[in-house]
Amino acid sequence: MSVQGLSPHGLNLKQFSQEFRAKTGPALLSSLDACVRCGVCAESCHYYQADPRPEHVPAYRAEAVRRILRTQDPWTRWFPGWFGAEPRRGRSDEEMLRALGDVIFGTCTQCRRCTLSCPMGVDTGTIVRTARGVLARHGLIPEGLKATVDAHLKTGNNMAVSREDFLDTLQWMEEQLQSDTGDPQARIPVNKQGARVLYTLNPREVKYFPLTILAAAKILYAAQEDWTFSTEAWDGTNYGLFSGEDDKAAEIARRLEAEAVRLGVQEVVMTECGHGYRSFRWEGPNWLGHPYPFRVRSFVELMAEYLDSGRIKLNPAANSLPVTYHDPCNLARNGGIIEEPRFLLSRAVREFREMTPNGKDNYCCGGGGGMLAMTEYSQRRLQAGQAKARQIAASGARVVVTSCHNCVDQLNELNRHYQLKVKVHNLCEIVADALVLAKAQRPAASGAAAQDA
Amino acid sequence: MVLPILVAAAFLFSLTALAVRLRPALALRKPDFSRPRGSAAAGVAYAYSIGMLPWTKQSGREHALAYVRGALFHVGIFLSFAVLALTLTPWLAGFPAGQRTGVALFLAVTCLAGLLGLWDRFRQRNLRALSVPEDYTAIVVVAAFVGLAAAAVRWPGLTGLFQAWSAWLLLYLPFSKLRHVWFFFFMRYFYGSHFGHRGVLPHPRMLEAR
Repeated sequence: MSVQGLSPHGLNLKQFSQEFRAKTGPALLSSLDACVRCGVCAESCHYYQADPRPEHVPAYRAEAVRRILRTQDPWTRWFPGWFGAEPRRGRSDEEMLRALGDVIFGTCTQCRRCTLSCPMGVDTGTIVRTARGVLARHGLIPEGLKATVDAHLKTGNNMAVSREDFLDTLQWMEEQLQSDTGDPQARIPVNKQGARVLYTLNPREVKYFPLTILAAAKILYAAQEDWTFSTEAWDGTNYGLFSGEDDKAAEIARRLEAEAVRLGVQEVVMTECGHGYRSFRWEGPNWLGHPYPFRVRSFVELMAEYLDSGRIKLNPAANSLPVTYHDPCNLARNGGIIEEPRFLLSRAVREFREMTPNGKDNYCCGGGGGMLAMTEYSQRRLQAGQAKARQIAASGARVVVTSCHNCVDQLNELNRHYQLKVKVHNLCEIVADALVLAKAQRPAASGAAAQDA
Repeated sequence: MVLPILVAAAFLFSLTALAVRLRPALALRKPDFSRPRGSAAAGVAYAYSIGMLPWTKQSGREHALAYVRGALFHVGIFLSFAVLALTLTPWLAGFPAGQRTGVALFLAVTCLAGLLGLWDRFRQRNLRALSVPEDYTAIVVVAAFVGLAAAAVRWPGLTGLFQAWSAWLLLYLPFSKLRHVWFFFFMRYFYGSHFGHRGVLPHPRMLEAR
């Protein structure tokens, strides 16, 4: 059900405005007042690239929020039309808020590419997220997004995978690891007290792509890492980032933090999940209001450290097709992880081709912002991926590598929709295939090659 | 004597009103509890320097003319405020006529740059859709301010008119989008410290980020 069919449970414009203002810190306040509606942010948005109409200009999206706020702004309310308050046009408050909901849930992935392009630095992604949070609090949230957050809070992971299924999958992958490495002592540790690293997963790995778990386990085995999974808090995702519900996002982060403290780990390593990394690495401490007593890194950073320090060795001959890399917005633009994946790929593949633009300027694939959970916006999402599809086609690569599960899903859909004829893989699969194991066991296909099979 | 007092009073009003509006932003940001990957200070330095160069961002590259036009207009606005300050002193009359004509011509060009922005707002579909009525009046008010500054520099007899218009501009400013003149500096600070802390801008080398 789209937001158009939902009722914001008595939320009116005044209440929306009050709750939004209550969540507004100094940075967001500046974002609200600094925009001069110059419109030069237009081309930075992948929605605009795919369908260049004014409604897809990022400033227009943020204006949708500002226009509602201006209806209650004591400085300008005496001349609302003049200063750009949302005209009522015979609509009720609920109808106006539903229209806003459609804009902020359905046309922005919070990728923040427009922020980097804005001459002021206006943070439209955060304006959108804050507005989502207020609407979600009153029930105006797409059902799929709400269900994903609620499942995480209720079951401990966003796909409601049972503990038995989780452990069965790990056991299966451990047997595969032993077979692939030829080492009957190779382990996938669970709940190991005092391990150095707590490794997290995205539930879709457990449910649909267990071979990415095997690929990661193989890399950790090759690096002789002291690591563990937890059965209590293994899901690194946090869709509270997308719903804008800070309280729920904080609770999800708190559980993972508590488990890391209980196990006494030195470091929490986030699986290749863009929003999970951003949520726990960057936003989590601020949602919780304190720093973590441990380090948090993406698996991409850890793999790069292994390679740089000689703990793993790679043979690029294992990946002979031309490869390009899609920078997940939450890793690159929102986390600064830009060189690490390129360093890994420079050693793991024969031929690497950059997309243009890339790094912090890379276009969002369209799968961020919780879009994959909001099926009512599927058509828009596929259309918004057009800029990315063009980039991939122009690169001439046969394999698209990325470090985000949502990106993988979206890129696979773009692959089918735009007939790109590429293969899409997580970075760890490519690295696992290129691993040169110390004991001379030839790694069986466990990463990208196995996924392809 | 009345007009300079009016300008000073309008300036004080403007400053006070903006301070009230800015109050939450004056608290600067809450502490960021996440472990830094880069440097917030370096990010702020970047945001106020290299990060403002048009070729460092897509918007600047794709809208180079608009960028130049906007920059020129803003130089004219700041220069006009300097002229306003000088009209409140006896010094302006002391400048040689040639210099005054040169400054007046430059201000006239920047005023034209502002009016071209107004033309763009009428002409371009995206800008029309984005604009509210106040967007048009704000440009007119400021372009007139710059134009009158040019006139007052060249023809001192128009100084009174320039001062009266300046007082109106200062009274109008806190209610208008023109208040971005203040928020710009806060915005760049928050932008720089946020992306600097995360090691995005400026981007440290991989090994430095560890």
